[in-house]
Amino acid sequence: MSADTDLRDRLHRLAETTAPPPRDDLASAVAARHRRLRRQRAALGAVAALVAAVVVAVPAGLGGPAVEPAPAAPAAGPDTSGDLPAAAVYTAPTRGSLAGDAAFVEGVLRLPWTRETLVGAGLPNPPQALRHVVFAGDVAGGRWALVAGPDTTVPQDTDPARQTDLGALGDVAVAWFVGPPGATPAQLELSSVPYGVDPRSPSALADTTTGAVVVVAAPGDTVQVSLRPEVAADGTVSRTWMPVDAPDGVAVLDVGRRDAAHDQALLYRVDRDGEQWVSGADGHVDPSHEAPRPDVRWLRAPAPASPADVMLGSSIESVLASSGLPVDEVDFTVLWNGDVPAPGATPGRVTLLAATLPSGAVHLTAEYALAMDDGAVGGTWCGTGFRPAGPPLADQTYIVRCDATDMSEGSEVVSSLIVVAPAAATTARLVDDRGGELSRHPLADGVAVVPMPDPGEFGSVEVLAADGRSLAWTKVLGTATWDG
Amino acid sequence: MREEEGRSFADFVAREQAGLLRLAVLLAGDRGHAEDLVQTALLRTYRHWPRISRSGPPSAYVRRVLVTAHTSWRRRLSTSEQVVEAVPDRAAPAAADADEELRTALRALPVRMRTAVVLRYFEDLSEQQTAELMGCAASTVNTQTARGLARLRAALTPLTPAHGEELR
Repeated sequence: MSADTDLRDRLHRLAETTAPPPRDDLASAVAARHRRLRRQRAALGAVAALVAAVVVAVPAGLGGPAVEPAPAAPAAGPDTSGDLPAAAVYTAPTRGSLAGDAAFVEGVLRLPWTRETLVGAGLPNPPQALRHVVFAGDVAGGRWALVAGPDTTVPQDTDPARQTDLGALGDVAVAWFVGPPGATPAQLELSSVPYGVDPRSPSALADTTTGAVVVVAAPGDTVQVSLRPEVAADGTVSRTWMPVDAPDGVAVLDVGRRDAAHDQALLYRVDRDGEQWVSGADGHVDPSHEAPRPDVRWLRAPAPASPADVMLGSSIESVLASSGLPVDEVDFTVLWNGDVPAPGATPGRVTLLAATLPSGAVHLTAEYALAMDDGAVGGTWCGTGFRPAGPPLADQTYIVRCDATDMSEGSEVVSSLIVVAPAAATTARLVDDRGGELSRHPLADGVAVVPMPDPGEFGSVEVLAADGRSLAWTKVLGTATWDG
Repeated sequence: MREEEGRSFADFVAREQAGLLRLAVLLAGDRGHAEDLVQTALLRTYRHWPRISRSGPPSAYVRRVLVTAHTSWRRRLSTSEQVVEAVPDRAAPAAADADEELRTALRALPVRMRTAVVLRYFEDLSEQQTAELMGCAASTVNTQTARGLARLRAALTPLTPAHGEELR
């Protein structure tokens, strides 16, 4: 049986054994969901109309710009007790410590959904009259608000099947606003980019500078968080989940400062009537954030400096963001950096970075970077992986496949195989799946960059010492996630 | 939607849903996401059903929506240069007799690479058909498929029993 046929058979068996069973009521469920989404859009409009009426009526009644004292109860939302009792993520009455401050909530409604540095084309920007303040409250080190409205995204393709851009997934768009402690609405600024959401899905925002995290779900939902993945000494990744208080479906947390600008380590989990959402929070990056600059050990002399070397900082930041670890708990080592052939005249720069974690396990990142003509630097990963705690990094062998492009869509691809072996290794043997030799290459300081052999034939690499002794058999670095 | 169109949509769902769920579970990697993905694809199809059912094979249309919806779920706007292709999946128990080795290897592939492999080797589509579903060039499909196969081969046929990329 050929490898292709074997893969086909295994794919079919996997699909058959893991696919959910068909539902007799699926068509009617889809039709009901369609009707529900239409009603939800209408409900958002109704809330906005109510708020707009209050905004107009209050100044007229009082004869001046002053607003009424904050009501004791949160602003009224649509009646969701009938159609959507369990999915009122974006239509429930305003929640948060400032929900009762009518003037604040009204001020938040008027905040612009665009800013100078944000290109507005294609981004949702619902009219003020159709917006609803979902959350407004004080958080660790600041004051935040979440506003929702009908998704006005302009599709970038008229064919609905290709609407993969912002807002295509739902009829509701959301925008987070952030400000300093005690901020007035005017002092709140748009955080990140407004985007469309599935009206049933929760939203969350995190700021690593302050440690603030807010998860907004529907009233009655339960919320758990996992602060970071735990990587054991054997290189396996796991997570611990903690239930958190979420009155009315909103959890306001202080998880402490993080060193990375983004928090990709924290996950939240929302449970609702047997359904479950697991996701990471959107990140608010404080302008005052300074990229961590850890001491980096180099196993070999660095290659001549290139503008593309800036991506080393990005790789370090990525490890800290994904692991959630303080910078002083991770030891960074560059195992090798150097050039690889790329489609254009400028070679690409690959950096193989090892991050030794507190357990002793090692996370590997092979980063491809290219300095482009306009001065920008593009980067992507050739591979990532975990290795168990064990031999010194200099005694291990690493094989990286790098598919170099010019960073444009549809670019030509130049594939290289990078061998990084102990300094004592002098030869690399490329072998097929059956151990048959495909080619031999000399190593300089344990390193070689060679053209990628036919992927259909290539299996692994054996590195040899000068006396012909085999030092290691190693396969290509794959792709590992911190999911756990 | 008229009653007759509603009936034809129901017939279409009854006919296609098992195949769509199988495709979705390979793309998404777990049952929860697969169900959501199929519902999302059918929802968009339902919105435009009168036009779709008149203008061509709805099965091709709904598969294209399913593929693009899956891709968009995996895409998040980022202010940095990096594109993070792996986002957490919704937790779901594994089937007892599932091919966990293949499932893990598939989930480790970047989304476009996984999509290309699944469409070519599970749906048995040509490069051109796959390109049309993915909204890219046939040459891109070729490249993504070759890379995906190489990674799967590396993950599924180890030369020694050791796991991970280190053989010894």
